[in-house]
Amino acid sequence: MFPGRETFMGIEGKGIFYIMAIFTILFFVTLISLYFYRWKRLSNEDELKIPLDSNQLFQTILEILLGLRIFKNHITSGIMHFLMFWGFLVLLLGTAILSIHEHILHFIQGRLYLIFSFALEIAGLMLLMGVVVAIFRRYVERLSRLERKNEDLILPLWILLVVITGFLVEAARISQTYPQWEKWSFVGWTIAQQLNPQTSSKVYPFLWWTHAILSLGLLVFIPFSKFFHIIGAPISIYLQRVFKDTERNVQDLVFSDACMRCGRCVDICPSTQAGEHYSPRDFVQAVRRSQWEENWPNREVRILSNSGQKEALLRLWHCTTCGACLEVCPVYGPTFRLVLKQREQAVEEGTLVPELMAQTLERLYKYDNPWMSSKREKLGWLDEQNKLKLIPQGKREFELLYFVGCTTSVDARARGIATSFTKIMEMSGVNYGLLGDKEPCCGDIAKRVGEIGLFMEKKDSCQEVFERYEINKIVTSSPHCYYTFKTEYKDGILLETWHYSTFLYELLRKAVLQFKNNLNLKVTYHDPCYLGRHSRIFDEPRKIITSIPGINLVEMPHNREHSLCCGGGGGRMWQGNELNGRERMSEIRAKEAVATGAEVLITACPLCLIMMEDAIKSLGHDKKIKVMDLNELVLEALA
Amino acid sequence: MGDVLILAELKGSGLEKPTFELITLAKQLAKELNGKALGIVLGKDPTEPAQELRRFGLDLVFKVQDPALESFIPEIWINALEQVLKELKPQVFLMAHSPMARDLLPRLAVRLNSISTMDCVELKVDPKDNRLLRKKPIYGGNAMAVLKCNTNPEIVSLRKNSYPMAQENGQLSELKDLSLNILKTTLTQVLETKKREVVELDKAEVIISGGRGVAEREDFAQLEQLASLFEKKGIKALVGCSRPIVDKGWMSSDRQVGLTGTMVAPSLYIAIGISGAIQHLVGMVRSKKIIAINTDTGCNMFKVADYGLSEDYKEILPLLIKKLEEML
Repeated sequence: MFPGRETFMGIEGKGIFYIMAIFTILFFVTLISLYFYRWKRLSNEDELKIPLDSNQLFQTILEILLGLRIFKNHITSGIMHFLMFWGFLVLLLGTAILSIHEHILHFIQGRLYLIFSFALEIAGLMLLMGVVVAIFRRYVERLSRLERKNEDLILPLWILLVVITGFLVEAARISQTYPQWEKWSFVGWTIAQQLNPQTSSKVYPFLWWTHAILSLGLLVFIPFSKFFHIIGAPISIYLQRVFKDTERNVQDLVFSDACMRCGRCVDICPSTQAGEHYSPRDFVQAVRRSQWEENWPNREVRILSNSGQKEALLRLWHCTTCGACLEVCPVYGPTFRLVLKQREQAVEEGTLVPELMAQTLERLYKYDNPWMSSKREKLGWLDEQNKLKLIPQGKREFELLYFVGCTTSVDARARGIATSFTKIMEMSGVNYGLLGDKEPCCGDIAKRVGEIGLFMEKKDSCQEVFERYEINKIVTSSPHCYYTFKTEYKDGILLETWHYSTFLYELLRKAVLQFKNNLNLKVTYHDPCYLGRHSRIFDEPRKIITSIPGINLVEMPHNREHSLCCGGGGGRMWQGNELNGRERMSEIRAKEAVATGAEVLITACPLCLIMMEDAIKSLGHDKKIKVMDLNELVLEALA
Repeated sequence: MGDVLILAELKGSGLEKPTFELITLAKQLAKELNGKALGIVLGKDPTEPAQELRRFGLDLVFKVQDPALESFIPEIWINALEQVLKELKPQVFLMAHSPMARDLLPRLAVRLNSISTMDCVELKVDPKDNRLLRKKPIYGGNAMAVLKCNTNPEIVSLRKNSYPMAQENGQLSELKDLSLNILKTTLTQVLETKKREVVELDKAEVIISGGRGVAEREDFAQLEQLASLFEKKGIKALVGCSRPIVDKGWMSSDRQVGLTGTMVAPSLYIAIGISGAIQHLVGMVRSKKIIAINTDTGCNMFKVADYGLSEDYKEILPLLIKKLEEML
């Protein structure tokens, strides 16, 4: 006798099972289509033109099969997901193959049967272990990022039951006849030895039906729970990969549906970590819920999680748009973009905008900067030498424009960036021009707080100025201006945009900059969010720093793409104390900098400079560590 | 011939300051209109303010006394003033531009089928037809509009600091009691009045602010002492602070100067131990004179200050207090 088995051994009502299975699958497909239908319905036509990029598709598939992103910084979770993913996938495929074997081509026998049995056995064990790890982490280890809602308990227990009944069915089947080859189904074989053949044959049909119904039930759960990520996550990852920085509704829709509340964003969000009443996960869930309730079919779909409390939607002013959440999100979800959308709506309706923010926007509108009630303040930092660089009307005698930016022009401390950078340019023989009080705001703040109309106006006035003075090459002080020009000005005249850090690096590379002074300093570098995470400029500033003689660069625990926000982005610089939590974001970062033992904290952004200096003084550490802009350090090494 | 009636708002048992400007204007207009300048006070017991109002040379002062007028319930006041205006028939009815005026005047205008103009800065009489020329800023203060309306009474509120204050003229105006049918049943009822302690930093002429450089909580007593010396001279002075002090819980947030606190522009701002983060500077840089006391002369505050003292406040403040005490 060949190794093999009868698929429906001793089970009556095969027909009923198939009818049930077909209905379940139809139900499942219908509900999944409903998701697709909603995505289509809530997006415009252009957005749905999704390019087919074979390279990105391959990357996406690779990422899903290996769960790479999930392993990142969370190895246990990575293993848990890997076990569950492959266990589930192999069992699902196994079952599908079995029905082919039963009805189309009888091929699983002999050695193939042994391999098949063994593989499913392993898969069952993997799933079992995965679920146990998952339950352990959520309910025993009680990781703070994990919530404990109804679905969080019901779903893993359900899978656990499916796996256990699966093994029991197998054992009951084996114990009735004991074919020697079933040793390959080692789990079932082991359990079978504990069973009495008579009892086995009696309970076998009962176990079989329980297992069948539980398994089909799991399929029904998917569209109604966080398990939808099985479908949503791959799509979200692919969309994020092909669309990158563009803002498409469909991306955000898919992402919020794909979120399974893993809470990695909660763990790294600087606002949440500072004890503020904001959590990216809750925000995403609230957005998801309101999207379901406010659009067809006008009801919440995740029936087992009372997640997505709507109050979370009101907490839209905490986010600094630092982008740390995107860095860790397994489905590449830019939560800050959902926040921005809510802000746009709030500004449109004029209801939830804090008074202080409204005043700042008004100043921006009237005086072209968010600080001072006068445009002329932007001239305040110019010395006699710099004044010669002001661009006269209609003349173009410069190579590039130095776009100083609002905060750098008006803040007494941040002006240090401008004075040192212009000195470096003078020394390097760079032919630059300045706009002085004719320099408009790039519109970054307006954009990040959702005042799109004002942003468009600022953008127009910038583009008009650039056109009038025939400007096509720009270097900025602020990573915020830099990012805005780079990503939001794509439709205008093509600008060659530099941040001063990359510009300095270029000068260094061409050996125009030559450091003479040995500074003999221990320093640490704070990655500004819009320079690092958003613009991926991590190396240039570090290379500049380390090429200065006598500099010892030490890293803070949070560095590069995991840098901690200073708390000044996304309009937070102009927000009131009422948003603050236990601690200030800037002070958390400042403590990290002090702990490195560095004598100087280097930044490359006016907002970071102000925030960090303020935090260090507030903490009374100003004797221990000094805050310097990268330009100031470079100038010290030159002069 | 047209009379000019002003409503005097009360502050405790006295009169609100802008009332004295109203008196000046009322007398001026009455003269041009060939009418009488009239004043009226309403309240639970407005005897004292009425007596005060009599001393400024108005032709006639009216007093309406009723317990229901104790607090400002718009329904009652509108009803009362409607009766007053119907009875006295003045050509012009004036109030200072206050929250009360904003509440009352437009509603009164509707009831009397007239027109109100709010927040005027100048009122003149057009000699051609003896109607008021009402001047007020429009478009956020970028332009001035002069308006003329042809209905009586001419209802106007006046922005403060537009006219000089009236002076006592040594005579007492005639006082008349006016009895009205005060509304007894109203939609609104006052159950309890609670006072809120608010520090109005933006009203102070002198602000003495302490920052992170002030080492001990107790040292703020010296700042308070300094402020009280100004108060003795009749100059409104308050102690303010920068953000870290509020963070430490040494002061309440209504004392905080800056973007996230109060935006101020006093005649004198003394910054003690404040290095001047931009959020703070934005809130006080419009002060007329800024004195910085800080050991770090490189700080931002020194860049905006008119005078800088590079000294420890612990040494400077006692000297300053002593000197001021001698001068007083």
